[in-house]
Amino acid sequence: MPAKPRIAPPAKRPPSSRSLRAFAFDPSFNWQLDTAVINQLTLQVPWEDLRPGPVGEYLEVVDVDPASGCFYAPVDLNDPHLLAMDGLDPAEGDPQFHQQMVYAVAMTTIRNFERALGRRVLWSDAGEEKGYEFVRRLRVYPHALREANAFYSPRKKALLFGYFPASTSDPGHNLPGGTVFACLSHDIVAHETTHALLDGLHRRFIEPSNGDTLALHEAFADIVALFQHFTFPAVLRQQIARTRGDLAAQNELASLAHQFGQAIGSYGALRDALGTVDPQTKKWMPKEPNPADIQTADEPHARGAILVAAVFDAFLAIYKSRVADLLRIATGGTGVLPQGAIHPDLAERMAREASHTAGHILDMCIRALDYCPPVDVDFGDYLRALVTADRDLVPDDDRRYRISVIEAFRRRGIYPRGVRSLSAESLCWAGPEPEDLPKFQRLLPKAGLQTVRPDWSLTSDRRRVWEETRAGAARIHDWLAGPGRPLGRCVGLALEAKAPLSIDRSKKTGLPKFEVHSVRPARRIGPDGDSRMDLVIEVTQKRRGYLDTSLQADVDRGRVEPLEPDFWFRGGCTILIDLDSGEVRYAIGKGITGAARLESQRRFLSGDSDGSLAATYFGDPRVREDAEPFAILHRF
Amino acid sequence: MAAPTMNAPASGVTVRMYRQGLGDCFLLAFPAAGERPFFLLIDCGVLLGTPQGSEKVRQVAEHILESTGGRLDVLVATHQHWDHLSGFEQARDVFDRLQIGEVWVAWTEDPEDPVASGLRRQRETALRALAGTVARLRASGDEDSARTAEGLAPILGFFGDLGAADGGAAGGSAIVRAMKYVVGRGKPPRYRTPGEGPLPLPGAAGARVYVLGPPKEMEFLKRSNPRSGEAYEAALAVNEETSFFAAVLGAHAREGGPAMSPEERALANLCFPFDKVYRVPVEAAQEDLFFQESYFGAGKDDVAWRRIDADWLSSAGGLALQLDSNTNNTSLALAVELVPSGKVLLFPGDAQAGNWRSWRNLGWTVDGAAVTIDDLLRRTVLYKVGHHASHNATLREQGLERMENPDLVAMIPVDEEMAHKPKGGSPKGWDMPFPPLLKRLEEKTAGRVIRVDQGLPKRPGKVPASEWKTFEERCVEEDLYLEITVAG
Repeated sequence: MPAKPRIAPPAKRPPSSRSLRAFAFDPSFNWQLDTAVINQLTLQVPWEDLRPGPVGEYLEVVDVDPASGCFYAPVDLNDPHLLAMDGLDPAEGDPQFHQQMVYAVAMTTIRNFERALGRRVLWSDAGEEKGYEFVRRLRVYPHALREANAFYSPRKKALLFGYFPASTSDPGHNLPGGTVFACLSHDIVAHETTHALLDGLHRRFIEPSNGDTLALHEAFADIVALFQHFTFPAVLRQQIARTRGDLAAQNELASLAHQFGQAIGSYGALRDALGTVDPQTKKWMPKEPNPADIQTADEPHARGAILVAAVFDAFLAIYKSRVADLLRIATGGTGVLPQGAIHPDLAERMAREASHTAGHILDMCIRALDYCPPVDVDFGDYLRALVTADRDLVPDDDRRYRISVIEAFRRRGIYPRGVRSLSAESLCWAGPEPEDLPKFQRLLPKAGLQTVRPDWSLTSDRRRVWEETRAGAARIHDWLAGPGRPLGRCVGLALEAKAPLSIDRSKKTGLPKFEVHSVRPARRIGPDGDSRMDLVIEVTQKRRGYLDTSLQADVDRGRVEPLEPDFWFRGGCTILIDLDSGEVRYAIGKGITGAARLESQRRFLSGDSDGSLAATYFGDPRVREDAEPFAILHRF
Repeated sequence: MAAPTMNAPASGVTVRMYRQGLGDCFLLAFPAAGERPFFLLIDCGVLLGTPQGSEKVRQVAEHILESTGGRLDVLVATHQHWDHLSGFEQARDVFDRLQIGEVWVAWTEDPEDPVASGLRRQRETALRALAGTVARLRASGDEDSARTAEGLAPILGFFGDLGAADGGAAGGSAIVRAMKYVVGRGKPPRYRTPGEGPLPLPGAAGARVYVLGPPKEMEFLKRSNPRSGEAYEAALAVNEETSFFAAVLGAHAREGGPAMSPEERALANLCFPFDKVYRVPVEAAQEDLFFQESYFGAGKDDVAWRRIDADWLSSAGGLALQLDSNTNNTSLALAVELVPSGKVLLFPGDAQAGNWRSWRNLGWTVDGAAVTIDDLLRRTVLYKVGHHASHNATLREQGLERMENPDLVAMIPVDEEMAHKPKGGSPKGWDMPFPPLLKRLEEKTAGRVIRVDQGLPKRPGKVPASEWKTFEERCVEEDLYLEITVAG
């Protein structure tokens, strides 16, 4: 008997998101009465076609544990049981929950980036030996290491998380001898994912060319992890009720990697943006901003913490001004809260303000990445990028976000070099010199730019975007390398025949080589509220650097053949062009011929080594070529 | 017995530093009641990998035999590092011919002491695991791993040749054998504890010895930069370090290497992060479609470059350094006092910061008067610079800066050329002597820094020639040794 035809209902649209449970902080919070209630979170992860792993569009979780000599079976999040119950229950003892949590948290971070940038994110290309191929998925190994460590591997395009037994003599909040997992710490997962995302945008930022580059990588990853917490309203409400609205008081949100800090026996959280726990009294003490700190902090985490603290200060200042009216309404105009718990409605409203502010700060920090120079970035550059990016998105600063950021940075001693004042106007990046504009318009004409613009939105296919950007970069390279190469100096490159000979030459033309690193669109809001599109182009060049200045001069002038360099000195420029008008809005450059910058990199590399035992035996980390730059940086 | 060829001064002591290379060997001659001087030997070793190291050490040992006329009154072995003890393996037959009065070692070598044997077992497990790590890294065939292995090997070289991946499990590693030999020559050996003394040197006139370290407190002993609140842990308690070692030993055992001890097996079981039901063995994973495609590379995509089989082993570098400094910290640190004058000669072995700091807690009562470490430092006229003048084996504020005696002389058993040779992980080799420390030593001693590799120093411009002459008259420079006499 032939099968009866089924009745076909109208096709269902896929849901917009998938609910997955995760720890809001890390498992240690479950064992403290006051934090247990807020430690569970259901994350809304963008819906995608998932295979067991989980393996999706951006991530592939592969659970190998080489130290234990075993593998853990991949979780299938499409299992109907799991779909019906928002994924597995948070359980430390089940590796499949670990896979679910890293996936959910990393996807949340990815989504925050995409929302801020208005386009899909790409991972950095596979390395030289892999022919700079497209990498669709970042690999996630939740149990890769047996040590207190977690890092992003730029070579393997992978996140490696560690685990280790907590100390039996001084375990903090952990179970003595119990296993601590890096992949179950919300902060650590967000932090490492951010490293990978930042590397996808700026692959030269992992080179320590000055004291700020690695620190910026660290700080930025901390900032994203920190403010990601503030986007979860439930957690925020409870914290606000607890601290009576004063988010500057000690609270879990502001302390990163809490469990790791506890487990290795140093009290309090590892990287606390706002204060530290006094080793004698074990009491938490706020850290007063001190502009001199930045002068003495050399270690990337310590330096990074200053930047994190500055951004957090800015957040607090904005939050306070946003809730001032609420407090006045709630207190009959006095602004002084009575004793006791605050009204739940007030806590709810304050939480919403905090979450809004945090969301904006997070967007601001991420968007600033499009406005950074492609190489040798420092904190001052980042401040200028923040201010410029925000002005491009919110032309009118009536909420005083920009002023708050500038003020907070100033109080921490972070100033950009070579600006006339600390007003928002003078901090914004400038366009090219007026007399250079015709050259830009000739070489990068409006009509041509329209053709290299990748079709790159939140729905584009990522491989196609990658192919289009590559093709676009090649065409722009051809334009810039055209007859006479007049644009070199305007974008900080040395493109003519008379350029220093420490810069590699093309075999074909005998002229200096350069790279077009990136071509990407950036959305902004024009002065009359309309949405505009800029094209971001990054051009870079590298030059052999020598610690010996006379050798440098000899190589530059061609008196000796270029020897193996002591270091690579990089220059380049980020150019933002309005796609509609063809106007070059900013040219953010680091000159390849700049003698002062070359000298400062030389001084940075040849300064006193840190004198640690590791430096005695393994050499100075600044000049050593590490295959895994983050592996040592993150070892606690 | 043959007559000694080395003389002692009428009062005081002659200190001889042998020049076998990067490594310690000090022979001290004190005046004694009888015809022959009283001889004290501190360590005899040279860094693994020193060209003709073994020959040089044998030559030194023969020379000691001849200089002392075949009898050492006291033999001191400071700690279990090859550059201090290799001679007792490489020239054992020569030492066999030497009569030895007393043997002094640190309490950390005492087999009866529970803390000491815990430490020793930890160290042996760690050494076997680290040696196994090097073997695994080398075998992995990948370039980064090979580099990590080459970085590890020279540090492990401080423990002598570990031989095969089993770390010489059968007869103990070479360094353990060397220490065993020294201890075995004592009848019985004297295990020295901090705060002891001043101990008379039996038969020597005008000298006594204060024992400074190694500390008894774990917080000083365990790390060169100890963390507060760290208490003593049972030998193989579960912690981050031991869980790593258990993993290496376990992997080795699974692949047909030496079996683990029952204690190690128990540890390894505690260190698995998940219950057995979750653990999929490698063989099963190789049959699984998901792992074939995503990890082993059976699918269409090339995935081999993203495998992480050896990445976890790279943490061994930090653990090796920790083991190295922990062992340095078990150094028997001695202060020799010349009695009438009160002058002090400081021999800290390779004591690191923790060992130095612990001296603050010590005190002695001598002839009714209290003596503290600061008194001893103030009276120090000869400082044997710790750990070949690396940066963290000489405490600054509470150490060198308190050596205020204007006659201070420093002796450094260092071979800069050897130290700076490229070593696996570090193309520039080791930072010994550490330049800022060397500079400060030169300032504090007005140029009287005697180095194995450079012989007697040149007169600094600002020191008057007559003053320098009196210093030079106290010294002897030979190819095989450097000598200085300190008047009593």
